[in-house]
Amino acid sequence: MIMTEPARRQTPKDSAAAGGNPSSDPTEEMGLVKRARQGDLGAYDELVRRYQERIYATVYHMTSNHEDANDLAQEAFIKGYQALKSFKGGSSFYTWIYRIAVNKTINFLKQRKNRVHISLNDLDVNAEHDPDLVALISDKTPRRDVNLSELQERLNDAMQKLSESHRLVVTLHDVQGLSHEEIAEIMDCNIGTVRSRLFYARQQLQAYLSDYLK
Amino acid sequence: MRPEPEQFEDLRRLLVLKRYEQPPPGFHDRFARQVMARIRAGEFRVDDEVFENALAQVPWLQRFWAALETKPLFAGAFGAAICLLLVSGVMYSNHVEQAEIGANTPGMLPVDPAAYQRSQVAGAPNSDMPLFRQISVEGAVTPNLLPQEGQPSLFQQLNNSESFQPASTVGQ
Repeated sequence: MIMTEPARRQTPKDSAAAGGNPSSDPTEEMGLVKRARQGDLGAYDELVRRYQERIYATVYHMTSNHEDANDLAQEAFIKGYQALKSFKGGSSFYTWIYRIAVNKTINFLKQRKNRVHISLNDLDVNAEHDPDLVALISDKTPRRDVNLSELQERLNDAMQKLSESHRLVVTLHDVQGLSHEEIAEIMDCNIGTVRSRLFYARQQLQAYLSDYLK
Repeated sequence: MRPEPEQFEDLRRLLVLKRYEQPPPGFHDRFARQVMARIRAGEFRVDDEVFENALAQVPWLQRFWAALETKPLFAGAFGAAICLLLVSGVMYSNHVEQAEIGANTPGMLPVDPAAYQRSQVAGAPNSDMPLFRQISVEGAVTPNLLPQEGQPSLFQQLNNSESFQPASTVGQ
């Protein structure tokens, strides 16, 4: 079965989800990395500010816990600074720091195992105006804001039922908007594995959320 | 089966909701400052860095360490195996050492361990016989712990190969 990349409609929140917009100039990024390796904390500060929103968002979607996401994201950047000397430049710094954050999060989740503690962030007020969500929610529902909160809770519950690797591919692809190639590089696996995990994860989520999906 | 894009379209719409989950106001402003403050405070340790770099160089070691961290049963089994190995090593070295002592001590020959155990179990005569037994050998030299004038010391006697009884003469 050929799995094609679904056509993504850009939503108003895409730029926010992208968070910090990674530098489109690899040369500039490598310049910052080089300076940071030489001890320039200002350069590393700039790198943190560029990628913090994305890293935090990924960790948060994996853990569904704001406090844990804050701690893990901070520790990922601290470890990134510590390990800068081992960064050989084979991938972008963005991919490299992503990988650190993902590995740290997965180790944390495996140690936490069944002790799931959800601490959800509030929904931005613009959510109720999103065309995708409007299309999803029935017009006949009297209180749409309550429905959004309930949807948020059910969605996070369903995500937590997935294994770490399946939750990760859904987070990186369907929430964060990364390509299969980028995800394969972060997860250190081949693209076929990414596609199969994504398909399976979507199937699982669809089953868990069947009450809310047509 | 519907094509994949259509099959998961509603799910895709629902997942859009995740993008609207936002941390408290001001969180991202504080985040970078907190990270840099921790780095400046020397949060990381050099020994951690060396260890992490070593792990990064050896992928199988990295996976092994991750398994130890995340699977308590595996870590416990590995620790038990190490302890067993150490205990076995100590017991083996004791056995070898005792065999060497018996071979190197004049007038003392090690008893066959199996025969010794049988004598202990059966309550045979001389069941209180030690693992090493003294033999009476004609011409055997009585070890002198303190060197006497005109007589060789214990070490000199031990070094004198003629004072050892060949195994073939035991019991004769």
